Amino acid sequence: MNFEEIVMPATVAEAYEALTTAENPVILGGGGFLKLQNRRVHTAIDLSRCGLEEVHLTPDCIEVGAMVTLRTLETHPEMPRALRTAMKNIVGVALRNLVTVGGSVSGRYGFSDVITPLLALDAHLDFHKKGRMSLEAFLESQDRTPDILVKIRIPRAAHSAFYNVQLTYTDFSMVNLAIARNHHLRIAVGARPGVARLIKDPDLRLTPGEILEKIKFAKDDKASGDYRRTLAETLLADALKEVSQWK
Amino acid sequence: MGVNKSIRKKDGMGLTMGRPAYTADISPENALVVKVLRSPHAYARIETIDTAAALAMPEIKCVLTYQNVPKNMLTRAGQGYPEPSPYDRITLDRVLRYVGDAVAVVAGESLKAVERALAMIEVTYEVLTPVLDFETAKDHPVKVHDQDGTFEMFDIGHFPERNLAASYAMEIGDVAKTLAESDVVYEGRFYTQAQSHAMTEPHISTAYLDYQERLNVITSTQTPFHVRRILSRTLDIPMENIRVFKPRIGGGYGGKQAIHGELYVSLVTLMTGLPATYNYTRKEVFESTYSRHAMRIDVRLGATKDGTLKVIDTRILSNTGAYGEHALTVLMVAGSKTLPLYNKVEAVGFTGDVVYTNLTPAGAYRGYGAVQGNFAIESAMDELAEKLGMDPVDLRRRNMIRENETSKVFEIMGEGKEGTAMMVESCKLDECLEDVLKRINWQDKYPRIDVDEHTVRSVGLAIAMQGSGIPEVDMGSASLKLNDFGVFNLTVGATDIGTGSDTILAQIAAEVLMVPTDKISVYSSDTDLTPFDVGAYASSTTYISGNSVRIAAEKMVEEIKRVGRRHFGVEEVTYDGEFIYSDADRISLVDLATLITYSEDQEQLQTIGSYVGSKTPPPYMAGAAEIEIDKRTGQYKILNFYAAVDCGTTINPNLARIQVEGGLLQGIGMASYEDVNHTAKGRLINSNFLKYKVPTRMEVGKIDVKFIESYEPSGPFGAKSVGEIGIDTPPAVVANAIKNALGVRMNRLPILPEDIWRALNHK
Amino acid sequence: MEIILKVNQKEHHVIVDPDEMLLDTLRRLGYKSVKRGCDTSNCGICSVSIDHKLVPSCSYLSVRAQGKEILTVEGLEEEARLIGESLTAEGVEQCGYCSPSLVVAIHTMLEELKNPDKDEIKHYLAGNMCRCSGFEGHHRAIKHHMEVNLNGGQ
Repeated sequence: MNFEEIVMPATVAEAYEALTTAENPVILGGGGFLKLQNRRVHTAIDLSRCGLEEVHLTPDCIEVGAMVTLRTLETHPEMPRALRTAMKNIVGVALRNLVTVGGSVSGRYGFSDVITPLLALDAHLDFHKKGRMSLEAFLESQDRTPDILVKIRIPRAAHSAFYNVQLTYTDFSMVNLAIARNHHLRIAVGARPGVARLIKDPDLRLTPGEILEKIKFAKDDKASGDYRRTLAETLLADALKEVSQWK
Repeated sequence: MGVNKSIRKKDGMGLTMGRPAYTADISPENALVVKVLRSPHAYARIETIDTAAALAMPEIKCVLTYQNVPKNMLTRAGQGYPEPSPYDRITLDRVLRYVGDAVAVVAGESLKAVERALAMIEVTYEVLTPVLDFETAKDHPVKVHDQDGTFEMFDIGHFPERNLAASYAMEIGDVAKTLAESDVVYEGRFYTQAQSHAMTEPHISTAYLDYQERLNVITSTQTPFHVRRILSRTLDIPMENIRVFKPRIGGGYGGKQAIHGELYVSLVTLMTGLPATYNYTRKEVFESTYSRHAMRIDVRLGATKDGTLKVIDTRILSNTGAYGEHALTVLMVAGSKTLPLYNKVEAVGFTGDVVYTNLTPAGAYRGYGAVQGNFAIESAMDELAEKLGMDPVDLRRRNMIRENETSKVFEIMGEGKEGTAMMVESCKLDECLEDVLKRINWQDKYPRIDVDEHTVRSVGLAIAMQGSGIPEVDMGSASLKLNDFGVFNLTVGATDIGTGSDTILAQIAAEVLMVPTDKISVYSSDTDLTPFDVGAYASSTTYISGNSVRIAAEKMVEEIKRVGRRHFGVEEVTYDGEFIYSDADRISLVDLATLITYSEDQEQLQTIGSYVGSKTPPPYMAGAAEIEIDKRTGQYKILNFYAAVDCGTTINPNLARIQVEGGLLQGIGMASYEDVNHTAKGRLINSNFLKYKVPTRMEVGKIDVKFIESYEPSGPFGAKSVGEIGIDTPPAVVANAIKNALGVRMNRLPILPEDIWRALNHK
Repeated sequence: MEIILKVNQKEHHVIVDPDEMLLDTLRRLGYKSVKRGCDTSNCGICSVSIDHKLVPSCSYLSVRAQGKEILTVEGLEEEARLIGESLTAEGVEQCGYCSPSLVVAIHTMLEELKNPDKDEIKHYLAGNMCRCSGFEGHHRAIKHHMEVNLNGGQ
């Protein structure tokens, strides 16, 4: 991506002001994909000085600033296990020090190993203008009005786990699956290759295949839809085995 | 002194500390930036091209199209001359034969300006129907090279009107009859994929005119002398006006055994008088250099009931893409570096066609031909064993080549021409096999162990051979100079591409001269300053260039003795690396060298050694792996890979080990996931490291390499080659292990878990 | 735009484009140890340390690096020499193109992790590509560096 100018606002309000007034603007997350996109824009808005790099702990929730990096999610001792595990195989430590949770979520990337655990964990997103909404609602929303993601609220789950299948250790997932239990059991399945989908409180007497019946899987250059389904069923079987151990 | 010691690579600390050493680091800062407009179509003809707007930009200094460049035909292949590859391209052509083919070249003052200028070039294309399926390319109505003047330097079976870049056939004995007489016949078809070298440094070349107006080219190449020749002949530049030199380069593996950006930067510099540099993007490396030849290999094996192999018949279809670089030689090596493994057969058949398609060209890549052939033959051997009801290890023990044996194949098949008869004087393949079986604990693990209800562990094995240079073709030479105070300069044409060959060659010189290796400074790969060498390919440097160094050093010892005799006025002296002795006296090498430089019968001692092989002694290896598979999904993991290698004497055991470890991992990548895929329109899908996956350090639990030393009488201090052998076995090893785990034969590379799952479920 | 970059404790006043990546700026300033590998932040070869964190400089905007401590191999002289000696003793540097970034990665790893075991080392360095070596030698070298150069020196 190329741009003519960059603004580095000191507050989210200033950033939002730039977003709504600047010519052909784009918000920069960590920048992991800057070199991959063949795009020209006029103004880049850099959020790295808006104070969005903090992790704030409350008794029932972890508030993660949008500019917190994946590496911080991986190494922060208070992060839910599913989230920490999911970070481990994303490209490499250097990239995870660059890429931000906000950029990963905002992009609604189908391949994301970030969205899947956050969805299972019932994360909520705080936007500057639109306010709070669940990640689940955000993924389904068709609203593309520009806004700035400020932070992500992750409820503290009693238990959570993340599973995925990759061709090599640092490759994108062929399919990923996160499972979390707080008051409810939530299963998220991603890299279908579409963006993650959620299953709430499944009937655990059903087989993995039956639980995943309504989830759609499709073909891309990594895997076919029917193979993805097999993989997801296998991951779910392994996950449910683990769930049965949870106290 | 020097040999069989794991000393550090001479360039190692400098490179590790990040000192400027590569082409990009030492290019003139003011060099014009060169970029190439690339074809979006698999097959098209330029109808019109308008470069006026680009040229009107003040920052743009030069635009090249087919209209203003020389039209001499060439092959990019960096091979001995005349090349066994077809001359089937010109520098910039009006016809574009694959997505990524060069349309125009722009040079300007900054990358941004050049990128803007590229976007301003207006091209209209007549889009042609491409040939993308290599299995139907032969005699296809669409011709990739349609009466465009391609030619061969000598008979390589080049028939462009049939889409054949090259073709070859040979038969030893009577294949049909021997097959008919065999008790058991196995017949199988195997596919190998295009693989990308994925060297870490993208291709880069820089040109400038020196104060004598000579064209200097700094380039990341494996073959500086071939580059000079091709530049001269293609661009009509007098040879004496070109200097090509290679600084350090960030990996090659065959990918830099050809001319790439050198043509463009040279033209830009000649036209503008300004220095110019062309640094390939990673996408261009994938799309517009070349990859490994994809092949379809049909194998027939015939044996008697007792497991005596009687006949091997191999028919190959090879895909060379849009241009035929190394087309014939890669094909032939698929036979010549695999068939002699089983030398007791009565009949051998080998035929092959190399077809043109409208895809990214294929070219040299480490283990070329051999790794494809090995996958087919070594997979087929396991299948034959099963048909015979015999242990696959016993089948190999019974039929494989041993020391002091030969194979008729050596005599018949060379690289692009007839071969050279050769007795195998060093071969510890039998010991390699037994060693690997022991280390992997084959007896307890073969064929499989169930871990739990859906996880199984299994083992697989393969053996392999390579060569050591191309006999009667590859020439290396070396020059040694004795300086005052007894230190030496070794200059070699050989091209160190990161393997450590500069160091290894210094070790060989040190061994002969009986001095410490650090008394020898090495300078290599400069067409002005070093003697000729064909370059770094065909596993030739240690053996061919090493022998030339040995010869130069032996001559130097004689020269030192000659001036020693003169100094003492005696008939006989001896030399031990430190002193020259007469019966009554001695003088140190340091003192003698200083005397003859400054004060006594002054002269410069310099010797030259050249070597051309008369044989190509194969290194051998046995490889075995233990894998773990999830039967539900076909997902597998290589737990460990054991290799036992006979490369003769290891001149530098550490560097030899890394060659094998690195080769194995590239082979594991080829076996498991590396693939160059195209869309239905011929566009490359995996043209970056997001999509093209090379093995990380997590893919294999352990790689364990051991050397079983032999002594090759024709090699320098008993050495053979080691650069390529490591890559050969992993595809067959992995396929055989999967067969042993699940009972399914995977005959297509890469072996993807999804394909295993399909095979298991008959989907 | 003019920015001030602090590289290896030295301040540089440098004019950069707003969309210029740190890789290009550093090379322009003469830090040739920083190499371009893939352009897509996937190979790790351009990695440098910024405020003690390993980052891919090919995708890190130069303007963002203002006020931060940038560290390359050139600034790691003595430690780089020790790590380099361990790597070259194995011959594992081979073509050397990925070596400077590997040295920086080993440095940040040893800042972050206390006495990592082989699995932790492999995981931390998984994003550092090398196509020559097969990696085994890296791990032999790092083990040597930790046992001999670090613990041995204490």
